[in-house]
Amino acid sequence: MRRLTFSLLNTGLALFLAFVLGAIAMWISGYDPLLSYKSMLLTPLSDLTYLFSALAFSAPILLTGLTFAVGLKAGLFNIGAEGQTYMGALGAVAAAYLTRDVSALPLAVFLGVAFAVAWSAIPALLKIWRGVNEVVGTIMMNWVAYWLVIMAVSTIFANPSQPEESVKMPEAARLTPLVAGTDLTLAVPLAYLTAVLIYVFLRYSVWGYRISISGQNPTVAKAYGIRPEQAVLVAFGIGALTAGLAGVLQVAARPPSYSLARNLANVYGLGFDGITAAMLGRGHPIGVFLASVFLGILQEGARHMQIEAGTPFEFIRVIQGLLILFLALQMVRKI
Amino acid sequence: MKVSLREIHKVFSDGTHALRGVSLDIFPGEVLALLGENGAGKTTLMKILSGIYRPTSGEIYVDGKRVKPKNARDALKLGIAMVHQHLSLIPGLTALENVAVLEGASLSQVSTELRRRVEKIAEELGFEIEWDRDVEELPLGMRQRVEIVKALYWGAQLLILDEPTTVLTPHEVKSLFQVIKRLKEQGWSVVYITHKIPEVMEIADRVVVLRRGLKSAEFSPPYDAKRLVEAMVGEVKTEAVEKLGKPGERPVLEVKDLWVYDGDRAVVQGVDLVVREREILAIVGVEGNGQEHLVETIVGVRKRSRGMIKIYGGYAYIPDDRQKKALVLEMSLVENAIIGKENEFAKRGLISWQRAERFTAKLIEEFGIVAPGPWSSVRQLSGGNQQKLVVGRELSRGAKLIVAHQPTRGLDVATTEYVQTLLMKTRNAGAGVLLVTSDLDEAYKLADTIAVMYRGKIVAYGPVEEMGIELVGKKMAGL
Repeated sequence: MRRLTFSLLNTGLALFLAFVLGAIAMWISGYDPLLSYKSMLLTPLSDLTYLFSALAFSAPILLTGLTFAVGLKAGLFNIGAEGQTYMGALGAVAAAYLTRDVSALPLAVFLGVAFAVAWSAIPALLKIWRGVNEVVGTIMMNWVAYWLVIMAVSTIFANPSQPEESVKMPEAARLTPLVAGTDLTLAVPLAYLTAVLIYVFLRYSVWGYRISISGQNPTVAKAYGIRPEQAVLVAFGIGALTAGLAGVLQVAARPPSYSLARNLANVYGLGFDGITAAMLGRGHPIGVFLASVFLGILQEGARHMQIEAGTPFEFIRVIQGLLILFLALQMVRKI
Repeated sequence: MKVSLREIHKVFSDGTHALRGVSLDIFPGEVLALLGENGAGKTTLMKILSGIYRPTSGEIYVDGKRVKPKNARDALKLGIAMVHQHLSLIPGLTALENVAVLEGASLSQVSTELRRRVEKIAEELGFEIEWDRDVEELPLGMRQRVEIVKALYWGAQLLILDEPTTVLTPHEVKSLFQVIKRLKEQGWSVVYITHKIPEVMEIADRVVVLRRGLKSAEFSPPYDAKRLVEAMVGEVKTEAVEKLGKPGERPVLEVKDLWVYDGDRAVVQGVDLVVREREILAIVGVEGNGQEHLVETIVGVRKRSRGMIKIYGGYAYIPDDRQKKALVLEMSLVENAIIGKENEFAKRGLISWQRAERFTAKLIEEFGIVAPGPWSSVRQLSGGNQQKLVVGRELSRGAKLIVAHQPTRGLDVATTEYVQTLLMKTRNAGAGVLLVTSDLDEAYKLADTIAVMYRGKIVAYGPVEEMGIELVGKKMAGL
């Protein structure tokens, strides 16, 4: 209990410092920090449309955050969610290309998740067989995915009538808004349900337990018949499931375009936002959920900040960067 | 130089009250033994004197003057040096460079003047040290001597030796004692930290006994071993461990021609052994002669290069380092209690933590583990209770083979006794025990069969009755 309070305090402190320094940066640049923060944090809560939009932003961040959180449990620094999200989106686009009816949706989920899992298997196996550090492996795969998906979207999967994006999800296979006129689709409850499932997996399942043991102390795991390599594989695999799902949903459940932008704009950066969410949520699925909602509000709020206070959108990136910095500092200090 | 400690208290950040007001005088030219069980506060007290810890309250005087050493170097300037249990030389530097390093960082060669003086000190003490070899290549006994010379070179007048004999062979212990006597004759004071009573009786001019952070008694010769023990543990429980029946015939472990490599070094070289039902096979030897590799290969943590290992009826494993190899310190007792048998508590892949908790509660009761509760983290337990958790968990596996590696290291007298009794009971019930230990008392107390390991080989092997301590000591030293 003491440890929990302590870590909440630390998270609070990191948030506080990030916002204070962010305010100073705004003030130096000639913007009004108070008005900026008011429009960024309060306006999204003032209207249901805005709030639903914030929640829609939170869903993919939560899913990629879970990727990183499960990795942390296994003692991994798995930053491959970014590339695996691209691959998930690519799977959805491929499904849209292959079939033009409702069956595109299950096919999208299947292909997207399969691509993502295959993508994560490479750094996982490299780590197990050759001892390649997972950070190196996943960064490499992120870049390969980036250019590969851009190539695919610009060539075979290109939309002839709208060259800046891919073929669209067939209308029958789209997850359209649950409340008309908002961005709130089934993606949001699906993501939240996934977080609950991951929580149950980590807390109650035999494999979740094995992942925790071998993540905390691989020597102990080995001595008592738990194979750390298997735990690494499982953690990578589960992480790829959620990251791949994030990519699929960004295509199949993201109005209005229901496609993948050629510059990957609707999936770009999600993996790294997920890392922020996971660190802010202390690697706990429920914590990651709360953090992703918070980050969703920031995303939504950034638009209002730009309109109401005239403060550029980019300042929320500054704040997020500072937040990561302060959270990472605490991790370093612990080591 | 006279050193006085007054009313020293130490409370660690985790709340452990390690010292509760200890006062102590150390006179010039005496060997003062600081006796106590693990966790009694001996080492903490001396780390305060040598500048490594700061006292929470209390005062230190050197020749009547109040001092506050802020670090080890500060203390050394006052003439106080400590030789740690886990020696603190810098690997990658030669022995001589390790002495010179206190001068400060430098790229230049160690001066011939320094070398001359260092060699002179070593010669006066009768040490033969290979000064130009990397300290990592030197045997532990020699490293200890390097530390002693280093302390004296830098002007120590009070030398603190923390459990100095744990890493030594019987032969090396003898020569260490001679060195201590010589130091004393030349006017140095020595504080000798130990929990071994025979050592105290042999060399101490005065004994101060610590118990639970308090000074519980002080003795001067002639010593009465029984009273020393009483002061140390409070009460003596001498429940003899009774050996019932003879070893059976059926093997529970067979090892044939086992070779293990660490890099390109053969650390286990053709070991053959058999553990049968109702047999305790004790493998004795100075640490670092391949025992660790042998054990870890048997339980499958390391890979063998060649040879055969057969285990009949499952195994339980009590490793030598409970904090690194047996427990996940940040996790709760419950989570630690089911390691390796998580499947027994699971239905359709989901663990019932309720059942795991009941099992843990049973372990806590059965093995007398003192813990705030089943869900508190294992880090909060004392070393003895951590070990009880490990032993309890392992013995409850119902395995036919128990692999116990230094199972009582670092435990207090009562817990040691308890763990040994448990091992014997398990043996009496029909299991075979592979006991790897460097504590000869333990080996003789428990074993049916003794094997001596030296440089990766079993150099002597036989029933305990035929393996006299004289012979075993010699074999352990490689003679």
